[in-house]
Amino acid sequence: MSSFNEAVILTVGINVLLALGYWIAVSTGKYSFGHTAFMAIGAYTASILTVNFSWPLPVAMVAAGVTAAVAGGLIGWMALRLSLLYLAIITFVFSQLVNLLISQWDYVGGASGMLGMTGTTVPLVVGCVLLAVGYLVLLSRSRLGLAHKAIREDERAAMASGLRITRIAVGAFATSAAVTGVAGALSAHQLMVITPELFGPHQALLIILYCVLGGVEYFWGAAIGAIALSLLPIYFDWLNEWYEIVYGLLFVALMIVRPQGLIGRGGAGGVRLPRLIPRRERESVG
Amino acid sequence: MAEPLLRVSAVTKHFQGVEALGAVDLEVAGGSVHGVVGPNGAGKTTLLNVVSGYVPPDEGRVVLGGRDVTRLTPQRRVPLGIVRTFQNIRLFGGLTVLENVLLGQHSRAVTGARSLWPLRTGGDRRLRAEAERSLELFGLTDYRGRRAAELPYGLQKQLEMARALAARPKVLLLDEPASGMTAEDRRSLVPRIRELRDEGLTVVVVEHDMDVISNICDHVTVLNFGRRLTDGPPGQVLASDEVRTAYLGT
Amino acid sequence: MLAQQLFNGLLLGATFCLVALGFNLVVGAMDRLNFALGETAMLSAVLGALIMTETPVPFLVSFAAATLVGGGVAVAVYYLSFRFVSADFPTASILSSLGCGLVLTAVVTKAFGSHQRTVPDVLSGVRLDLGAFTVSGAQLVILLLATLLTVGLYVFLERTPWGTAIRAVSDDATAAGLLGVPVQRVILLTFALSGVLAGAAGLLTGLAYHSVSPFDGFTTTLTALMIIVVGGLGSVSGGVLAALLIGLIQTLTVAYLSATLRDLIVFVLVGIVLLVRPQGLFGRNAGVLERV
Repeated sequence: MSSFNEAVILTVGINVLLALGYWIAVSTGKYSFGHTAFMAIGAYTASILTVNFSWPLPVAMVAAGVTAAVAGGLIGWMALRLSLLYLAIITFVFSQLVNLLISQWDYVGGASGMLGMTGTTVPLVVGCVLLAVGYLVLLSRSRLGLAHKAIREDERAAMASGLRITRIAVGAFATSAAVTGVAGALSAHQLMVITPELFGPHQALLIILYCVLGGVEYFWGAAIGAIALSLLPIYFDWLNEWYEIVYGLLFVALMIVRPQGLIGRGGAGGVRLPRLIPRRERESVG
Repeated sequence: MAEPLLRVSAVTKHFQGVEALGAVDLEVAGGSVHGVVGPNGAGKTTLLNVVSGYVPPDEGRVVLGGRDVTRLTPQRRVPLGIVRTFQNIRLFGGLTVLENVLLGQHSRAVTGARSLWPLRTGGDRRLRAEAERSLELFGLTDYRGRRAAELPYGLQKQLEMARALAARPKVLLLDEPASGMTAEDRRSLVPRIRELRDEGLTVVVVEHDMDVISNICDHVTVLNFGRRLTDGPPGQVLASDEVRTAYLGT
Repeated sequence: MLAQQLFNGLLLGATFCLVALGFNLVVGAMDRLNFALGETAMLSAVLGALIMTETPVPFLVSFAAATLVGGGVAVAVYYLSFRFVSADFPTASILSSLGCGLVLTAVVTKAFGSHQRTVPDVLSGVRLDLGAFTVSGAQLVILLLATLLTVGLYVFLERTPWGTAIRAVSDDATAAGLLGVPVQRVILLTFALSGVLAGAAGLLTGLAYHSVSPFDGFTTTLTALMIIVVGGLGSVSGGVLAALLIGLIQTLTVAYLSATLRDLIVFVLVGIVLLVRPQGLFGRNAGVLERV
């Protein structure tokens, strides 16, 4: 395999992993706007372990996933009690906090970053993607997956059916963060150099776009979105220069034409999300 | 009277200064159908919300079978046996009819890592067969793969009840089960609720329709302006002067 | 010294306040967040600074231009990211407006470069000595304009028919519509107003720091979101108080602790508020799911 093809497979594979990880949170109807925080946490955890402590990469990746899951669980627990608008704000603010902390932490090189990570190979990336796909196949056919869908559809009805909605949603969020953390670790050991800037708002938007473009109804929609959007800039050089404008406009157009993504059922009832602020839903006293 | 299965004692609830419930008591005997009636704004739905856990009371307690459940969330009351339906139907509109019933079984299904096992395997096969039977009972078998939002209103009501029963409740709370139903559906509702009672289920029903109430209830509580007006067997209560005054204003 | 820092902090808070008000207006009208508002402020600031350096017109003209640009951009964002985006997908508008923000930043860097731009001083000859602290000409301008806009907005919302309509739509859009309030036009008006406030805030902040950068938009959005969390989502008075509080904290941290701690302390404050009083320090329980 040529090194170009290898690099393409690594990049695409990592992006697919990011999209699949994000999809897990989205399957409960919860949109995070700062998943790069978990990516950064995973990347830096693994890099510290491999570079400073000479851990083997796969073990470091597990540690990265666990650390990201803990962070995801905490943020989820804080934010998922509140409305979706708060979730958006909290995840967004959290990703900036992580960024700020990393760029001020001299141990990891501050704003100039860390270097010297290697070891991401095609089998490792493909293995991780297969694991994630395996999990999602199970999830989509299981009671837990059904519970995710139920929470996405109607939280009150889910409560009435005895679903522990906070626990399920936080669990999904933590799992999602774990997969994103592992993807971050892989990405760091592919790029060899990481800086806080890599995990900025643009990357956060890209992850969302991968997932949303393909459609949030099926997990493979997210994977297809990620593949398409990672291949485009590789084969169309001019996109690198203009991608912010092109992707920004893509977002705008997509949300007007097909907010549910390119794949999946259209129209009302397809992927209905709960209202943002339930405060207007007054209980009748009668 | 023996110790009631469900006891609500001295429950008070204010909404922004307005008293929705004022020290309301309710005793529901096991295996009975208990009606809660009253004019609009009497506090019937609030009472149901307090019992099912959607609204925390300012004061008072809710006790199920000797266990105080006042502080539990709705989702934790379901496995204990308190399950409800909603006045305006809350189905998972984008999910199929069968999936709705399967979700109703959630509190009885496997948990933890095993909840990732595919639906068709192991112990879940039994629950799935049960769900299919329940669909048949409610005349929904032909619609099992359809999205719930596509069903006509009457069938949605049936599905909501099927989903509630899938949790195997001890106490089933029905919020205006007859509202919006055709006369025919109403007629089939009465024997169905009686059947459930004969199988040992306890039913609390909030209802406007006096025919339904007097046909199915063993016991009726009348609320007015958030207070318990009177309480007793339906024939006696509905004939009393107080109740007539509250309803007709004469 | 302390008095001077307190004054500087309140001044910074006053500019924050304008953007936070802009965010809250939109939350009130549509229950949505316009994530492009920070970039709107940035674009107004860059264009305002450009007019100030390249033309001899008085400052107030460039200020008016900046607010107009802000209002115009916000209206454009309304059409692109809100008007035609289905209400069934509540996150769609957030994503779409983030996309708009991305485009705005990219367009500004492509058109005017990605470097920091100096904002010339105004009223540089004026200096008020009030004993405990002094007020420079630029600070005076910021204080006057920010106060004017905040008070003006308050009077507009409370005393005029259109303001009443905005409050009615905030309270219950459906009911307001049934009573004959032209809901769509009112929403358009709130977007325009939010853009005007953001544009003013952008240029005034630039004036305070003497510089603007195309990447300021993001920071502005972030600060506004933190103010909203602290003040309570949709709460106008909470937003004003939280903005002043955060302005004070930032200024005092830089003056007495360290510049690197500036944002961190605000983050900690936001975290504590979320844990202890998720509805915001000054909000009611808006936004908190009833999870009894």
